[in-house]
Amino acid sequence: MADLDKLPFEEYCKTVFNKDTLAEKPECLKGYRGLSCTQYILGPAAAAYLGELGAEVIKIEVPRLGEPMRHCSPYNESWFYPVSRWNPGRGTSPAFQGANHNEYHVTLDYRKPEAKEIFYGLVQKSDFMVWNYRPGTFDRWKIGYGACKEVNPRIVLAWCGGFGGFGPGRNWASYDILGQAKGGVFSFTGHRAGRASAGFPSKHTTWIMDYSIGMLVSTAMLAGLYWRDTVSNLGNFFECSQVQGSTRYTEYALPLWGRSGIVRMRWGNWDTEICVNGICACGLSSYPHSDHPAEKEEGYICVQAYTDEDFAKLMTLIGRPDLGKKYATHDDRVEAKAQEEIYPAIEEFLKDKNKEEAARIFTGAGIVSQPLLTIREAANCDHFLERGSLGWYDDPYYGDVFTQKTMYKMSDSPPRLKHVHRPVGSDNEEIYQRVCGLSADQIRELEAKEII
Amino acid sequence: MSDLKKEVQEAPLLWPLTTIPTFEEVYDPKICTEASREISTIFEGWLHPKHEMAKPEALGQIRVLECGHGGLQCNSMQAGAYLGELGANVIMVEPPGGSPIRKLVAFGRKRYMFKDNINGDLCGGGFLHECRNKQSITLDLTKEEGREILKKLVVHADVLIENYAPGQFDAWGIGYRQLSKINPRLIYVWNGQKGQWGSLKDKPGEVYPSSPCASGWCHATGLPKSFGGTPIRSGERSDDILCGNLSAHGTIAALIYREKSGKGQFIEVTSSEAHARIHDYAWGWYGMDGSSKPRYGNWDLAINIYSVNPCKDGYMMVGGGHDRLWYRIWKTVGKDRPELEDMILDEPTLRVVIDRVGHDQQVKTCTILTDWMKDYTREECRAKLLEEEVAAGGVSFIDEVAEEPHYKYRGMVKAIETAHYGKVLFCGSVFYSHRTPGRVKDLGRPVGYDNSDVYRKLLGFDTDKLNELFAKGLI
Amino acid sequence: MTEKIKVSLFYDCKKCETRNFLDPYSFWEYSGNFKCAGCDALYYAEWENGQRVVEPEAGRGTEFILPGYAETKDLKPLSGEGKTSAPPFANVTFLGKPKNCTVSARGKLVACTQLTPEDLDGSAWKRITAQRKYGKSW
Repeated sequence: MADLDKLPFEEYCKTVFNKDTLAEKPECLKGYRGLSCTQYILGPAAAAYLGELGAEVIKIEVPRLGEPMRHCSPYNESWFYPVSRWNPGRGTSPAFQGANHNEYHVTLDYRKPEAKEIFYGLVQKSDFMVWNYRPGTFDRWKIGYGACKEVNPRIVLAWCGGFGGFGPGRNWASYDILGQAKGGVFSFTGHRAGRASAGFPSKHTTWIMDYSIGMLVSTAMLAGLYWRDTVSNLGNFFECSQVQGSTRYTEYALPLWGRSGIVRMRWGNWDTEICVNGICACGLSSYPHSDHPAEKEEGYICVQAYTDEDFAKLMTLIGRPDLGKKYATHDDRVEAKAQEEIYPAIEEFLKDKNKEEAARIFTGAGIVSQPLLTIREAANCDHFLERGSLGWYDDPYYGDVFTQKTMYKMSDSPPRLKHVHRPVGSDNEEIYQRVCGLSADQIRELEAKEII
Repeated sequence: MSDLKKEVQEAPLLWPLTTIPTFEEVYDPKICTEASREISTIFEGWLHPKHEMAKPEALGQIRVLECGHGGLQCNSMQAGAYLGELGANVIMVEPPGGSPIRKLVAFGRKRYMFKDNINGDLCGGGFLHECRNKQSITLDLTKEEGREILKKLVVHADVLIENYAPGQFDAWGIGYRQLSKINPRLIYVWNGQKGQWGSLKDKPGEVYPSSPCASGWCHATGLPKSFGGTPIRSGERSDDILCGNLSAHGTIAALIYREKSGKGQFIEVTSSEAHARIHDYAWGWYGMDGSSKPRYGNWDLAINIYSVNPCKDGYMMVGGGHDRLWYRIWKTVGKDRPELEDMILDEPTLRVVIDRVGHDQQVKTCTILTDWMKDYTREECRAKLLEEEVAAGGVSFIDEVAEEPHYKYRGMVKAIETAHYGKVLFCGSVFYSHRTPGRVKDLGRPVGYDNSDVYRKLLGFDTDKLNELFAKGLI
Repeated sequence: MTEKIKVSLFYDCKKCETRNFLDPYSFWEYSGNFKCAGCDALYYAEWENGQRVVEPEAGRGTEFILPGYAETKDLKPLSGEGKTSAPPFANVTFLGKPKNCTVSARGKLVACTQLTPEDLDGSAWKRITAQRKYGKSW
């Protein structure tokens, strides 16, 4: 281990973050147990991030068919079977995979009166719980914060939802893109008005608000657990709303509006604060003979040359030293009109190149660039595979799956993937017996009555 | 709006333009049931931010050295913002003259910047918004003497976050390998776009949006080519923000682990991997049969209806994947345009949930829905849909967001009189909590404001020593 | 008082009665020709903020865009190459319904195929669990 000090830096990183030795290292949240009473992405993601850190997360779903996220698959094409042993002809969509790593899956019907005692049994043995049903629902069923903290005063609870648990909008239903829309980020993502047929606000490709608010909820719970275990020995309750996350991400928009009345607008693939830092279209496809639809399209490349030196170099490279002189300082070139002159000039240069060639030329000139990779290319990209962020995985239930693996790297107690997800109720016996002490007969009876 | 031409520096706060509702107005018995009022009162007692300042802080014992100010990446700054909200003592270590991020402003327009009342320096709104409860010291890390001072500071810190070029700190003798010998309990976080190792490792100066381009995200966002679209990046620096989120997450996880092990560790959080992690079904779908997730504009490949479409005065989001909401949406439409509702109900391929997801069905559905929406504003559409309890909302611009009564009531959008930059409008902390809420005590900090305080307190430097360092250009 | 609200975003072709759906992202502010998916007739129309201000009339010139979707009078779909705008494809083959695969993109066993109760071993597919030579527990 003393040799670590002598290794070149990159070798050193490869060694301490080695994806093949993750399982040899201890886990951050060993010994913690939590409940995920959630559906869709917002709540499940919060618990799943803690599951990745080693907590034992128990996901509670509706008996037989589980939660709705299992049933939304792109183009209706991609499914992993079975969704449960009661419904082998139905599958779970890969959309379920990103937010339910490493979890144990049980079923419970909260509305049945017998379910409450079972639920309290789980709460007593848990350190944290996440739920995202409508505000007040769990409280009505006597399993919300008020009731749970009586049963287990050390439990850290988190509720996450669209608009929060109080206020005029508390009952508004919400989805991720509603959060994006009502929070403000949607309004300045997309091509500018004026570009034919494409000047409109654009949503992010996936449920970014759900996942990132889930991260914040997860962070809040970690903070709550840390505070409990080092300072107070008290449980806690966190409430995070999706739409607030979206507004939280608006960067300078609110401060600027508050003091000037200026509203932040869309600026397409360019950057409002840094120039040159934008995504430009290349003229050619990288795979001109391919049949695959993702490969037929022309490529795109992100170009970054924002210091005066790099900008001058870039302008000379593309044959426009006049622009290099005209916009010699950053203040000159970051203005809107300047950007409208500069980027089309870059695209003119890229008209007869594909993205790989463009990247080669830019790199050769010492200019930073990054070609836009399609999903296919990113999935086969050495960088992510080597680092263990994406990869093939031998899942115990589903076989050979390609999946996202770890959210970040840690040298001593890294997060890791243990399984992608499981069918509905596949761990009923295991959890209800091992954690709650129910007998096999009792479990069978409860299953027959669809209480679990 | 006669103040528009004035510089932000001089302008007063133009908010709120409409009143903030009171408790009585929100829970008026005419619009609110007794049960709802009761539960909301309990929730507010636990969670309302007006109680926040009296409550303890979850990370009150932690000190963070936020060194991510060598370049223009905003990831470390974001991580520090979350840790600051949760109560950590975050100290920004800026180069003398200030972090380059302070200089960022839309279109380089100085009149959009904020001015501090100590040095008169200008600071961009983005930096200000994320400079929450932080202190600022200056230190020239490019000089050996400056790095020696950092090594002394690290003895007193729990966390160090940086985003310099890969290997830079290590080459300077202040990487994790070296600092962990000085303080084995140090948690060291490196942020970047793609990584400090690997075939695409960061080049010096690389910034957002390099990361979503590498992870496949940008390519999958925007309208399909056949509809005239191109890949598009997000308006905000979404990857850097996610990276900051995950850095805060990893830091606290490492703090929890440190309680057992007594040691810190090295954490690497990159923007592209943060995005790849949340790319949901793209990877599982690829693994199954090599499918590469395409762009689908403002519609969703996996759910119908779950999309944003134009309406009379902007864009309108309507969501309703499963039957319960699906039929309510069309019932709403049918009240004004019965023939449109009939078109949907007559269509056999729209009867079963999973059949609705096909492209043809999506075009038909969204076209019919938009034909209804074209005659109504966002508010009108929303009011009609809310009658049937459908999730819907218009795409709001920031001025509409700032005036939304619900957000003002919750303290989500609020203003404080900052110590140095006047009254600033901002988005409050997302961490509402019963016992340890996140909170914003101050926004912004003049460059090097805390040099005297921090260097004295932590390193025992007196006035002469500080003057000497200043003369050498080290602070 | 109730003036019948005008339709903007779909058009029933006068010649062949095909209903052409003119999707909002292409036609909201469009002025120009579109081609009927049923009979290839060219129509010219204009839209402003989603309202059709010039009703479809004889086409002008030869440039055109395609409708997003079309169907016959008895609701039979008329989409396809040359008729409607191409959907974004994820793969060479497009099914629009569950694709049953037993091997992954790199050729190894994966449970992406519909199962029956006989195929199950507990909550998993028999063929997956059979790959393991030892006990059942996970």
